[in-house]
Amino acid sequence: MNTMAALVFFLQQNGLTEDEFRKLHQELAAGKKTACGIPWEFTIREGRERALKEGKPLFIYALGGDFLGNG
Amino acid sequence: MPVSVNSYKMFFAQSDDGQFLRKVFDAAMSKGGLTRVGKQLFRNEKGEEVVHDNQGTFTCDVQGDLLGRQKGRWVGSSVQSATAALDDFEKRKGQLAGQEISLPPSDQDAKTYGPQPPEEGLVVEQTIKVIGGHRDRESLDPGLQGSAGYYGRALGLDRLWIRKDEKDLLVQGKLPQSLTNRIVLYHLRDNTYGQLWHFWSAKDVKKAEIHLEGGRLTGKVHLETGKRGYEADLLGFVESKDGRITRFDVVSKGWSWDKEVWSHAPPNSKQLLAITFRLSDPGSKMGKVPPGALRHFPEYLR
Repeated sequence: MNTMAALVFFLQQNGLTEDEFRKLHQELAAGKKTACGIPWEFTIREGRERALKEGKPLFIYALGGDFLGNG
Repeated sequence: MPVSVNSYKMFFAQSDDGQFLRKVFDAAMSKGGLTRVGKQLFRNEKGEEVVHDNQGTFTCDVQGDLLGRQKGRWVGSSVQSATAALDDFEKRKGQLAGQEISLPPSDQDAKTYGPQPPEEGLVVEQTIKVIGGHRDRESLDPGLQGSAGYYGRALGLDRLWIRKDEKDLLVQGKLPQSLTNRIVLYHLRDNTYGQLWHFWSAKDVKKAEIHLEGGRLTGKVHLETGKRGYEADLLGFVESKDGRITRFDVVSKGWSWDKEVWSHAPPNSKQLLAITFRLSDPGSKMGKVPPGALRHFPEYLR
């Protein structure tokens, strides 16, 4: 089997192309530094310290699991 | 100031954070109108079953005085409640002007958030999204009117923890079986509709062929129970430099199905699910939140 045929065979075995990989990774993962674009704190203490410093109230999102189990 | 907490974990915490939250939650309970989403049933330290209003959104000041709480389930009601609370806060600010407010000394573990990542290991952040297929299950649960569009757009998040010894093998270009097992059992699932316990067990693994060769990770998985499944291809790149992993970028893409009502999908439908992995930035706050599976599986890091 020559090199080109081997490459085609290989690509056909893997259903995810490099283009798809790049597109999906860029869209979903790359550069994501916050959850939903919001700079969440994850402890009450850190939230209170920032709120006190910035003169703001706290907006607490409380769930029965970790928030970052779902977006 | 946005703060996200695991109320199930924090409700009984014997720390300043736990006491603060109980004050806020108790105030919400006393106002009445326990909401469907707020209701949570669990056992207190005496073993008694307790129903408490401790899920949802709450606005309060730094001293824990409740200013407002969500009365519904969706963004609109949260925004309305928070806006009204902000107005109340501004009025209070004026009344309290000139008074010094301070926080008590921080207790020892206040800035940690439960279990910590493995020492000298790696934290990989994960995102999950439905990118195709059909999401529309409103007819099965009228209470979720309008939810289908939301769940169809939601982004699921999680973290993958990698032990130091596994990291060391990755640096050598090898993929440890323990890491493969962890990814397959705990991280290839649709959690875009809420964090549930829909992980996989060994008997659900029909196929899990994942290989790392020359820094290129490829794989095929087929996971299935009687009611749900995920069949996908994986492609990724793992790179290292000077003994450190510098890149762990992986994508899994395939069809997911779940016949249970939790998925908000029509019966017998499939969704095209994409799952991505990338190294967490050093110091990332999101990266400190434990993996979803750790709550249910103490053997997660095995």
